[in-house]
Amino acid sequence: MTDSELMAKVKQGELRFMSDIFNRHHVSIYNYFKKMTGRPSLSEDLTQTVFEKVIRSKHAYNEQSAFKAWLFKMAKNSLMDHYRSNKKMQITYDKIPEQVSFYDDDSEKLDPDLKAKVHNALKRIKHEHKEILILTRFENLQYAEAAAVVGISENAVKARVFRAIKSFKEAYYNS
Amino acid sequence: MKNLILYICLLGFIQMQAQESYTIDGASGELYIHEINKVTLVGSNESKLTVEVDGKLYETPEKSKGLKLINPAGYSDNTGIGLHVSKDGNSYSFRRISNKKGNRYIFHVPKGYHVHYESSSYNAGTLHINDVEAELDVSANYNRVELSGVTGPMAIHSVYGGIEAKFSSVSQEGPISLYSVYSDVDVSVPANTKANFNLKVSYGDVFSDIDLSYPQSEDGFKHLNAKKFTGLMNGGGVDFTLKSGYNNVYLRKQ
Amino acid sequence: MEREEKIIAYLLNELNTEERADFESAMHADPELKQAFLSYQTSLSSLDKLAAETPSIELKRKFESFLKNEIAKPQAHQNNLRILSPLKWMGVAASILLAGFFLNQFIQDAPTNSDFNTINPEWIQTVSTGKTSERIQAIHEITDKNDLDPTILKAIEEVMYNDQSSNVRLAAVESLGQYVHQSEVQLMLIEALQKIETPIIKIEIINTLTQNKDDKAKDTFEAMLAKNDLNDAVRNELHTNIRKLENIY
Repeated sequence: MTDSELMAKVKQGELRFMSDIFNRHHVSIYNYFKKMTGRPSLSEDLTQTVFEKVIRSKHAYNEQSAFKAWLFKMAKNSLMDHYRSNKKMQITYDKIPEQVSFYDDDSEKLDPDLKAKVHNALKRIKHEHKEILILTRFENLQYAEAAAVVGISENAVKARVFRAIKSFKEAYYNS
Repeated sequence: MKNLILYICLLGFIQMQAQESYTIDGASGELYIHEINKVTLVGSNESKLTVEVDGKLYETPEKSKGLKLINPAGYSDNTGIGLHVSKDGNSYSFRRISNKKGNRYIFHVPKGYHVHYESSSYNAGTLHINDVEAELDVSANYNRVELSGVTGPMAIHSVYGGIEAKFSSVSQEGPISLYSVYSDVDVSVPANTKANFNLKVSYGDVFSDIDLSYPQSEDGFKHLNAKKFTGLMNGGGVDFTLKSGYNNVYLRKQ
Repeated sequence: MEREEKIIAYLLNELNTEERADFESAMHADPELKQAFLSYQTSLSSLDKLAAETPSIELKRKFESFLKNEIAKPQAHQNNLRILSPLKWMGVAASILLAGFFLNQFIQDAPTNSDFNTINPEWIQTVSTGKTSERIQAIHEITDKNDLDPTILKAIEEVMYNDQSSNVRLAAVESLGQYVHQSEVQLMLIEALQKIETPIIKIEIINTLTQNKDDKAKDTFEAMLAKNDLNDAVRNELHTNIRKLENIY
């Protein structure tokens, strides 16, 4: 079944299909939060919130729209709501050391030094640039999907990706 | 010489493109357009509805050869131009089936049709409506709506997009209403138009070069509320509502 | 296209064959361009190697137990609003007329100039099968001419929920808005605000409710902001109108 078909079932009240949706997407939603905030336990909490929201807002889902974009939009809103209600905490985010996550599970792909370099660069670029890189490069959202998530046009996404790659490169070499 | 050859190739190319269209016979009916991002509606005197692809039809990837574009709602391309059409009596619904940005579609609409357009997508482009005398019902979220050579009746709203309308004449057959929440509404009508303009703005202003008369309310007081008022043009006529939530309303005479 | 943009476009595979070839030969001829290209390529490929991390098993456990609870809960009353068919409408009309008839029997001397005949079958016919503009006109006419009447109110409410054109539903909200100072209409609109999903209708209801300048509207708005996953435009409208009700504007 496609995501939309699963959601259609959930919408009709067959909540058990939510389990499939969760299994398919919780890792990518978790990683969106993890890459955005750098905090594993907060990311797990926010991931839980998103899937609870999917159940609560099931009637708002329109089968015509891309499920992934809808889900990430919800994730983005949850993160914004979190920032809004914890304005003071936001400042401390960047000071929280990343070490814990460095030894997680992906050391084969990227050696720890380079990984630290990527993380440091991501931390130093603008929030919107980091967000667009994570959505399009890491989560592999298409520009149209990213546009729906961020709430700007597809062309604006494209322009933002260009600027983000540029500022990422600068941060990467100047860290 | 080189240029000439290029030009001839180009002409051939354009002609090839013009063949990508879909036709429904009959001069009247209900036309529903759902979630097609880029649409132009053009009035037609022919007794058929024609949908034409503007430019080159979006190419499906090489890998999709032998496969069909599918959609969870069960729609597939049954028009040959990347759209799904379903028929119910003389009512026709067109839907986009690909998630790709896709083409602009030009609908040539006979007078006897009622047109319903609905779009909620972030990727929706300007909806152009030119010389259409058919009744219009437009519900948009992000689209800008540009109309010219129209007459009404019509009901058009967009949450984010602006509305610009140039009327060739104003039909007295039914109400006209144009509403944008976040952008402006800019309308011009012929100088001899008879209408009751209901003008509503929450945070913007109303600008006009028309001499409107303002009826007194029943209690004998003139309305002093500049956010919501009625002005009659040439003694009044059809109900004509112009409304913007956060922007201005412009009402001009031609 | 500026040099850096070209590099990025090349890396994102956004150049056509000819442009790619041009760019590649330019790179061969210009070591500086090649250097700039390599620095982009290296940084981007490091970014792309960033791997997915796995959340703890606790996350899955927590969600599964949440889901189990949700499934165990009795399903809330389904509020799937449908488009009423004309036939169904006739049913609604009949019940309205019937209610009107009985009400008339009971309150014959009631000081009201409302007339139940105003909801005549012809009106119902127009509002269920007419063209969009005819339906809008019908909604306007019935509220312009009539005082508040429960049967009319009920009919307009039906249109607000069920008409297939959001322009007609919008007209229904505008018409009800004339009576928003009546508490039953206010409650009707508060209920609709939560049930109806269409952003433009929500926005119209929010603005209508704000006219009353009372706490009920403000409380509703605040509660909605606190829980729902809202459309941006609706969220913005709620914020604006809360501030309006607080007299900040």
